[in-house]
Order: sequence, then structure tokens, then C-alpha cells
Amino acid sequence: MLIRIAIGLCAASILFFMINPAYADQAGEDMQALLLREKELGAKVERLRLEQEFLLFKKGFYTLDSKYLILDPVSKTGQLRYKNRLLKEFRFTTPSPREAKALPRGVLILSKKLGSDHNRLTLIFSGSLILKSMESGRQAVRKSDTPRLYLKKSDMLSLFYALEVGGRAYVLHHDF
Amino acid sequence: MKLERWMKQLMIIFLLLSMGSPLSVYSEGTDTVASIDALRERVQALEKEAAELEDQNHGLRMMLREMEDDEIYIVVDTENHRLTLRRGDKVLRTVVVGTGSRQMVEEETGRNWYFETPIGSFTVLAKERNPVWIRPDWSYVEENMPVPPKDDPDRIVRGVLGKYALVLGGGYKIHGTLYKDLLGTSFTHGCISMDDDDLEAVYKAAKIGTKVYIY
Repeated sequence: MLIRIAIGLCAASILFFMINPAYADQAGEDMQALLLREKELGAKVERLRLEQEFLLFKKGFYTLDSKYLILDPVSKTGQLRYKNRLLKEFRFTTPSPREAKALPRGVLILSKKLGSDHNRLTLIFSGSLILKSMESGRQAVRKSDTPRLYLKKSDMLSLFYALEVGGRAYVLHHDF
Repeated sequence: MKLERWMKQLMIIFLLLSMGSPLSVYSEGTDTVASIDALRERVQALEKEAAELEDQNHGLRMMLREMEDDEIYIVVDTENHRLTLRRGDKVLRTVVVGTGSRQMVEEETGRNWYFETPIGSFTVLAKERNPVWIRPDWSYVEENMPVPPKDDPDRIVRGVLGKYALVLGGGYKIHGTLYKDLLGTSFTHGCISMDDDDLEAVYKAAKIGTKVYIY
């Protein structure tokens, strides 16, 4: 009798042994799936936040009496805009793909304009981005590590005289 | 008897061991459940945040769309002497123009005039066919001629502004020119001048109220 009871209890324990690992496996799979979902959602939320930042920038400038730039580091194109109007489109180059990736993103403020008499025109944004004109068809020798964009002289001329210190530029994030 | 007792003891030990393992698995399982629950909550919070952001961004895009229009507008780049006719973000026509010379004329009396195309946002106030030029005082001063009275018929000059003109106000117009070789340079007294064919196209495309952006 006692032996029968003992055998029954042992069988029950063995069964319990078998169920719990299966349960542990299932919990592990759920955890993995949730972690993946969390990561995807995190990336999506970040993308949406960046998109909202740009939309708010545009909305603000559609009402302001100020010209601004939108720069796209992927297509290497830029726009000079005023309110909801496109004034000018232009292209730019970067010294290297690595430097293109290092470009600051988001809102920048024009902090300095350098150059005179249409020579060596330079626009400096927030100390973190420099726009320069090509010199004699060559890119100027770099003197600092600040990322630079190079434009045709005629385009640089337009931007130099169109923008005022304090003017804004938006460099697209391109995650949205 | 002895065998039964030994067997009883072995069974008890075996039972204790086998119960201990499920207990530890159970406590691990409890921790796992708690972690999964917390993770599920985080995922739900992120889903909610994503949905809210999508809604907000949709609203912003709608708002921006309402602020945009399909109207024709004119852009003048004075540094590069180009006038662009645009609709939305599309270029309809690009025209070579003449803009203000940035020269100064000074009269002996002390009056002076600086000829620059004004920068800013303007509106086409009127459209003229066969515009007439009413010579201003500076045009006489410039040629070292005596300045006639305001109502002198000599001031009325025809055929020098082309077939059409768009009036921007303040004495400034977009019009034609006799000096076609100078187009693409800064040679005017502030107005924006262009070739006849381009002028006709721009005149026909623009209407009263068309915005003109000069930079």
C-alpha cells in the first residue's frame, strides 16, 4: 500500500518535472517576442518624434517673416524657403560619405556670415555646420573638423544675401 | 520489514528532492512572469505613445496642407539675375533679368538716388499693356539735363518698357527693356527687366494679387 502511494507520488513529480521546462520554454519565447516588439516600437516612436519635430519646424516657419533652409543630406539637395514658398533649390557636396553621416541634424541657427565682395562666402550654423562656396572648382582645404557643405558659387551667393544672422536651417534626419 | 523501511526512507528522500526542483522552477517562473508583465506594460505604453504621435503628426500634416496652395508666384534672385515663375514647388519658367545697378546718382542740390531692386515680399498691384514711362527727376539728373516741371509732356515716354508691365508698387515694375544685351546684369534703376518673350509669358501667367518674392 505504502509502496503504491510512493510510486504514485513519484510519477506525479516526474510529470511536474516535464511540464515546468515546457512552461519555462514558452515563457522564454514570449519574452523574446515582447523584447523584439519593444525594440520595434521604440524605433517607431523615435521616428515619429523626429517627424513631428520637422513638421513643427515647418508649421512655425510657414507663419514667420523669415527665410530658412531645409537641407537633405541623403539627396544632397537644399531649399531656400520663405513661408510656404520655395524660393530656390540647390545642390551641395560633402568632402566624404563619412562626413555626410556626421552632419548635425535638426534645427540649426545661422550664427555667422563671412566673406565679402562675393569671395570665399561662408555661412556658419550653430558652430556645427559650415556652408562654403566651391573655390575654383576645388573644395577648400579644411582647417577644422566642423562638417562642411560645398555649394556652387552662384547658389552660395543667393543664400549668403538672402539669409540673415539668426536665420534657421533644418537638416533632415531621414529616419521618416 | 527492514526492506520496507529502507524503501520508505528512499522514497521520502526521492520525493523531497523531486519537490525541491519544481519549487525552484516555480520561483524562477514567478520572476519570469513578473518580468513579462512589466515588459508587456512597457510595450503597451509604447504602442499608446506611437498611436498618439501618429495622430498628432497626421493633424500637423493636414494643417500644413491647408497652409499650402497651388497659386502661381514669382521669385527674383537679384544676385544671380534670375526670375522664376513657380506653381507650388514646380518651376514653370526661369528668366534672365536685369536688376538694380546699385549705383548712386547725386544732384547738385544734394538730392540723391540709389538704384537697387528692393528686397522682400510684394504683390502684383496692376497689369499694364504698352506701359508708358513717366521720366522721374533722376533720369534728367543722370543725363545732366535740367529737370522739367512734373506735368511736362516731355516726361511721357512710350515704347521703352516693352509691351507689358507688372506693377509692384513704390515705383517698381517688372517690364521689358531696349537693352537686351545687358540682361543678366545689374543695370536697371531698380525695376526688373526682361526679354519680350519672357515678359509676355510672365505677364500672362501672373494676375493681380500674384505674390512676388525678391531676395
